[in-house]
Amino acid sequence: MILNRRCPISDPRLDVLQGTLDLMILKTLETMGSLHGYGIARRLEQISRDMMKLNQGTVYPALLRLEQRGWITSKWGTSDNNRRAKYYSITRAGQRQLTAETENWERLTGIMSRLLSATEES
Amino acid sequence: MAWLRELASRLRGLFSRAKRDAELSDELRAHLAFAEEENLRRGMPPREARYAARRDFGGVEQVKEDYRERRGLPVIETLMQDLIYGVRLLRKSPGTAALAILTLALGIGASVAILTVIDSLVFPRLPYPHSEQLYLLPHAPVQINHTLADKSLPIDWMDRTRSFEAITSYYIDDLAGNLHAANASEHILRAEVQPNFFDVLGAHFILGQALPRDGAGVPVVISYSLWQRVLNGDPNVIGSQIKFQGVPKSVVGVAPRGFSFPPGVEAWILPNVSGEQKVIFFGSVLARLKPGVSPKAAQAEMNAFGQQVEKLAGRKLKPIEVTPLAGFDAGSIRDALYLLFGAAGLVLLIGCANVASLNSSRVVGRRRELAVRTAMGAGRLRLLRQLLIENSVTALLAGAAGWGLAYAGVAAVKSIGRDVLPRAQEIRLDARILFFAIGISLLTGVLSGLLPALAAMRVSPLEALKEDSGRQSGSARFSRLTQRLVVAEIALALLLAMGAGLLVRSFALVLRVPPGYDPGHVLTAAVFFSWSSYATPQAANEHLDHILSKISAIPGVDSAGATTLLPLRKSSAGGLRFTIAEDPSRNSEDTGDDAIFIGVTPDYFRALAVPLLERRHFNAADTKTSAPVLIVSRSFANRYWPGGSAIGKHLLISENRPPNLPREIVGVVENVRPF
Repeated sequence: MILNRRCPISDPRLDVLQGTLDLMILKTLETMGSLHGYGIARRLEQISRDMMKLNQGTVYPALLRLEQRGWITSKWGTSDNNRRAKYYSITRAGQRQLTAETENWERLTGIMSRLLSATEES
Repeated sequence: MAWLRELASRLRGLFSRAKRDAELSDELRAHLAFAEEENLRRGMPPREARYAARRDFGGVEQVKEDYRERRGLPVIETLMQDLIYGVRLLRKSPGTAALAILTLALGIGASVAILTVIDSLVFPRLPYPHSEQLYLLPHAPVQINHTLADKSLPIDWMDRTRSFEAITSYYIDDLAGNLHAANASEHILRAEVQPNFFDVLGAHFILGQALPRDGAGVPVVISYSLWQRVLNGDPNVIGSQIKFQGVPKSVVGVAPRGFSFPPGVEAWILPNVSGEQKVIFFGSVLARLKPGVSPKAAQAEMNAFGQQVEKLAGRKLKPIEVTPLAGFDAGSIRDALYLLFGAAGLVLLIGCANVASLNSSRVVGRRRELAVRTAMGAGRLRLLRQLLIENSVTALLAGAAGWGLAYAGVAAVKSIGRDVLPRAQEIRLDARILFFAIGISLLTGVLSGLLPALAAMRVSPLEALKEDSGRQSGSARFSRLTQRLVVAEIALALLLAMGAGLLVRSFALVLRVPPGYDPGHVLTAAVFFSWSSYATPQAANEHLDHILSKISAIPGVDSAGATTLLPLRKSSAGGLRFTIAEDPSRNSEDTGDDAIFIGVTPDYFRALAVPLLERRHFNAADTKTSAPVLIVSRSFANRYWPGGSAIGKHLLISENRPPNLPREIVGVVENVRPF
């Protein structure tokens, strides 16, 4: 199919797991403070050392979703090189959500790694 | 909470969309500029830097579309689009639209109006707490003391039932409501009730209290309306005197606003049980079911009780029926209302079929449009939804017009049915009816739009596009649909016409039955005597004779008579039992028969032109002191003396006040139809 031709199986980069993008953005905003959309996208790429497939555009619907739920807020501001951009920052509710989600994620990865490393005897 | 905030944000997203779109474009443009600058800094050639920025971003329009879908509520947005399109289509062909709206409005209006009447009369919302536990017990024996007739009846049965929390009884004496207050005299409806009557109904008094158990001080409870109308809402009304039939009573309580039970009653007194006099208490029994007891269980108990009473009385009695209080008085008109509702439903269905065929011709004209949209990727469901929504616009407009019709209809029913329908003034349209109207409008919208829309869906876009727009040869499918709709319409209309025909026929049959009297040129008026204000019953009769002679003297008056019960009026007292003196074996106590006895003046039959069949009318020689006499109807005479003559026979009426002498039958008149 068309999709396969464009993204051959040999591409070693990972797809973004459903639902993890929100968590990544929240964490990024927590550590970096206020950031614009491009900054968030670049930061995600750098952290993953370009090992993650991310269309930068997809952060925008995710940002809207997070804002609608009250976990982040946005404000128009000016960048270092004097360009107008929308800056996002995490809210108190967002921080609580991040804590809860992080716990969930750690539990899940714990389960996954135990499951995957388990041998038949144990 | 997060979802609530999201919904609110999405609702806000429905507005000022242009501004939000511009903002998004700005944001994305800034993103691309940042990326391009960074690429340039990394040493990419300018052209490559821009392309790389775009590539990394992904599809800009796709992101915008995703974003927009998240921002608002797509369902509502497309709904609005379809609605606006529907309104535009209606304005394009106002004639067709008006026809469709009118057709549906008639059906909707009729259904809503009749439903309103049914809702108010058959399922009234009673103003009493836990009114669903209130039941009437028709044919249950009522008594507040020993009775003359049934000494053996267990007098305390009301206190001994297991199913009911409390039982009370009431009796409307519609002849005893002459009221004299400080500055007003009028005739009202008055009920005799037991002291616990208001407790059973759960009434909370505005002023004063319920009737005292011992009956001290000749007490009366008055209704809110009477208090306002006659006593001007006087706050010091408790303890003041009003007179009934010339007998003073003192007001002990004012019933809550809207409390009117039995319907129309405005004053409640205790039954007259003075001293040693033991009276039978005619009336109806009202009971409150114990919580958790089913009406079925109560009915079973009443059945057993009924059998016990029958055994004691030694004769067959009518069974006691445990009947819900709500809607009890709608009994006779309930079926008629359901029938009318069915007829209105048929009218609505015919309207739907009509509009459906109108629609199918409209859809034929739009096949190219639909085909083009299908070819451009519109989903079938999306198109179907659009067609149905367009049609719902028509139906909702029809619903609004129908609501107006229903409003007028209900007003007409209220004014025409003022004297015929119980509680006619309580009929009204309310929010629940409005929901029904909206629901039924949407349903008709879907019903009348679905068939044409589905037919349009079945045409392949290729076929439709190939057709010359001027010639529509492939519309055979639509004409078949139209034909079927017409068949359905004719079938429904035939059903309706047959029903209406049957109704008219039975009405005509009713009219053909001779009433037994000539209602032409007869005027009636009701006079309520305050018997107690006359020194003797004789004096009251003389007063009545005086009135009648004055009326007879009016030029143009042929004859004037008086009766205790006019034809077509229902007797509140019911029948009385009697014995035939010449044949005591035919005691009506044994046969369970009773007859309605009415009092008349000598000229009564002449005034109504009731034919005399045998012997004579009453005349001036029949007085209080002469031998008591009686006139019977033809069917009474035929029933008890088939083939013979009733003249000269004697009846002894039970339950009559002493001295109870046998009355001689001196005449037989034609049957007067009681309905």
